[in-house]
Amino acid sequence: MTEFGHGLDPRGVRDRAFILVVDHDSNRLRALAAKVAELLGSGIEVITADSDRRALDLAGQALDAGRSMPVAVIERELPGSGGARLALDMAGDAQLRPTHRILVTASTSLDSIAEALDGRAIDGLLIRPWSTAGLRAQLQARLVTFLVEHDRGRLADFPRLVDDAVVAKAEQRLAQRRAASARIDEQETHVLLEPQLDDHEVVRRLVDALDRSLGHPPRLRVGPGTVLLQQDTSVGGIYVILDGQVVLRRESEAGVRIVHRGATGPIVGLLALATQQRAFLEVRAATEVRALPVTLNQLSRAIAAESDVGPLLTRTLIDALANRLRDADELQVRIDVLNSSLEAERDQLTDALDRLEKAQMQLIEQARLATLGELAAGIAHELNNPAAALIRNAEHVVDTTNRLLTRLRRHADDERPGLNRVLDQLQDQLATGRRSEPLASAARRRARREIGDRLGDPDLARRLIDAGITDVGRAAELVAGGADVELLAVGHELGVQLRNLELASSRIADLVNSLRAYLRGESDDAVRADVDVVQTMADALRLVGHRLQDLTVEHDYSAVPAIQGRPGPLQQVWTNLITNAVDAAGPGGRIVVRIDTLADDGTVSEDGATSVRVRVEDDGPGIDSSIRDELFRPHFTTKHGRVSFGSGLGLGICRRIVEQHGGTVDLDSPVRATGDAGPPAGGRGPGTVATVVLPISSPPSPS
Amino acid sequence: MVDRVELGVLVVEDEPEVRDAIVRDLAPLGSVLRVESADDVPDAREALEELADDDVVVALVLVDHRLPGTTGVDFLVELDHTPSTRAVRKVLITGQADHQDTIKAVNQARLNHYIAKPWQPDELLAVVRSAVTDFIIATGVDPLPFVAHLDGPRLLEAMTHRGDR
Repeated sequence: MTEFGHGLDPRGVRDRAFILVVDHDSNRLRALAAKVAELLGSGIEVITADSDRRALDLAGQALDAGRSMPVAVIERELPGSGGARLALDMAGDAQLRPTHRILVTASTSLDSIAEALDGRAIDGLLIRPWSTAGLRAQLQARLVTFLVEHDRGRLADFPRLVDDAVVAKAEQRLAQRRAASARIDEQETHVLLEPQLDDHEVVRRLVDALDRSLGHPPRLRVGPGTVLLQQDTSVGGIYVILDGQVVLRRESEAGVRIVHRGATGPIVGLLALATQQRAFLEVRAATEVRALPVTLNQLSRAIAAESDVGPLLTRTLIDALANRLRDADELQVRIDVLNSSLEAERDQLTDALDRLEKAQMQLIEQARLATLGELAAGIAHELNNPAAALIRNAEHVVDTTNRLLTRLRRHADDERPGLNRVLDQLQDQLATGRRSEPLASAARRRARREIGDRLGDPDLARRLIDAGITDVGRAAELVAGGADVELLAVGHELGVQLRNLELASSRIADLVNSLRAYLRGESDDAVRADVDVVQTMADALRLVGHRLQDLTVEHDYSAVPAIQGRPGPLQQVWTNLITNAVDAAGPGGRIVVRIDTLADDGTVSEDGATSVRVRVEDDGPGIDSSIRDELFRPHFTTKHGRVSFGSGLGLGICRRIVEQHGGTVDLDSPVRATGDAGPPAGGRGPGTVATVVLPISSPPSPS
Repeated sequence: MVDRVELGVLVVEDEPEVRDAIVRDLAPLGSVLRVESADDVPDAREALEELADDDVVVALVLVDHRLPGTTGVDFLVELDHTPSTRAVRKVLITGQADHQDTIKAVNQARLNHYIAKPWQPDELLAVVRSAVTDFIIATGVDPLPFVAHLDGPRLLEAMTHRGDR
């Protein structure tokens, strides 16, 4: 309520009350002020001001002096902040607030004065250019309202403006105004709309309201673990938790989920009650709990009796639902994030599985090769004894046979002189049989035909061939001389068979040796020895000899010094390179193996040589330079489901072994890289050269 | 009026020691079979010609698979596809024919028998006897001269059937 301090002296009011008119335009101001004075008569003074500053000053002074200002007429387009702002400022000033303010504006748009309207700073609007009637109406309304509110006695001073109707209207206006401001200033907001109302406050108010309406119902006290509300049962009321903590649980196929108390709020069972459903959650006391149980009936009574209960419950419900909803939204977002990262992870897993499978295949292959390696090692060891026995005994058989024949000769000398000649023949045949190169089948057939035609006896001819007699003349001679062809044949055959025995045994022995040398490298990791590169290459060639049958294999070895290294692994490298060359060249192809030495600058040199160079050339299709590096990557290959001995190690391992020896390995096509190696014969293909260079003096770097 | 038909066996093997051994092991059949050898497939073709010139009917070829140039299996396929040699019995005696090669020999060359090296001499003889017996029966050669040395009972039974003709 405004105070309008000083007592009213009916005569002195004329001196005290005034109307303020504010406009910067002097012509307009004069015109307006004159009209206002005319309309109001001599009962009231009109004071003018040409700026907002001036207006405030004048008004302030006058009011301080005890005068009153019922109405102020303000031009909107005042320079500076404007008339609307002035009105707002006046409304904000306790002293100036009671004044009714009329804003004069040329614009019909209310936008620019919205703030002033909202702030109830303007009581009337007058559109410029104004009419006298309009001005009169506004003045009348404002003045009368002011006087009715503050100074009813003065009304009589303005008989031209005042009549009963106007006064009544003014009173109505006043009453409305009072009611509006009073509601806003004095009453509380409805609990549903009140912001920042925490649950404690809600609970307190609710409990108070319930107590009031239900006559302070008894509280419930339970120990920890007590189930207040069972899951899936129908709900008959609510609990208001006053003290202690409860745990809300839900059992489902996914297990037990514990819902924090905050998600439901201090009132338990409300959601179920409100939606007429069964309890979604189990409510169990986590500590000692004090609660107020309220049945459905009691709730109904309370809601009817206390106007707050309904809204409070609603508020609680809305809060709880809002929390739940927020939780659910957050959960959904999290689920989406989890889903997308799950997808990414699944892709990664698929990848990893792929790689794992590939690695597994490689491991299986490796294991297989390792087993084969062990088998080979076992066989090699087992073969040692029989191989030795074979070789030794073959030699012994030859020796023993000779001694046998010599021995027999002694008896022959003494008792059977004719036998001597026979034994001579046998020993001769034995010797020639052992020495003779095997006859090519075609030559044998031809000789047999010739002799057979000559003697007219193909069977005899065959036997003569078996006796090592291929010359027609000699054959005829022998037959004519009555020779015992069968004896000659037996002797010769014996010699040939002994020779075959020796050859086959030494082949086995060599294979076993090569195999052992090969395998030795696997177990003796650290042992380094002097390695004769030529020897290891020869061993390698022997090992894969069975595969070289269809090809032409040439070698060109210079004298090379021994190098420090591991013979087994090096032999592995040679075997691998040779096998690759064989595969590349194919049946009827040509392989050349060259071993020489290089000086530091890479030129061929014998003295001052610092490295040994091994080249394996083939006349196959050659290698595309784009895949050359690919070949050095470790991989395992099997051909036709069978692991070829020596292959499948991969060039990658070759490179590793060579690098362990401090050397280099390279593949090149076509064969022209080193100048002195010409293209292979036949022009079958550009071919490939595998070049390994191993240092002589410096020890190999430990891997 | 016809002389006893001379039957022949051709051994195709490139390693001399092995070739000698096979031929030697077939010696017991020398009285009824002419055993010739060849070093490789071209040589084998030549040998077959020579035998034909000598009026020897080749009843069986005994080939190693791993030969320089054309393989033993391919030679057997060739023989099977040539009318004049289709009836010849085919035996592979080898240590180096893999799965694929053997399948080829069976399916495309109608291989009659497979002997793995190293062979047992008894087995070798038994296989040759049986195969040549088959040849005799299939081609209608007079079995009588061979009864004592090959599969006598079967040959005799064949003779009985011949008698029915």
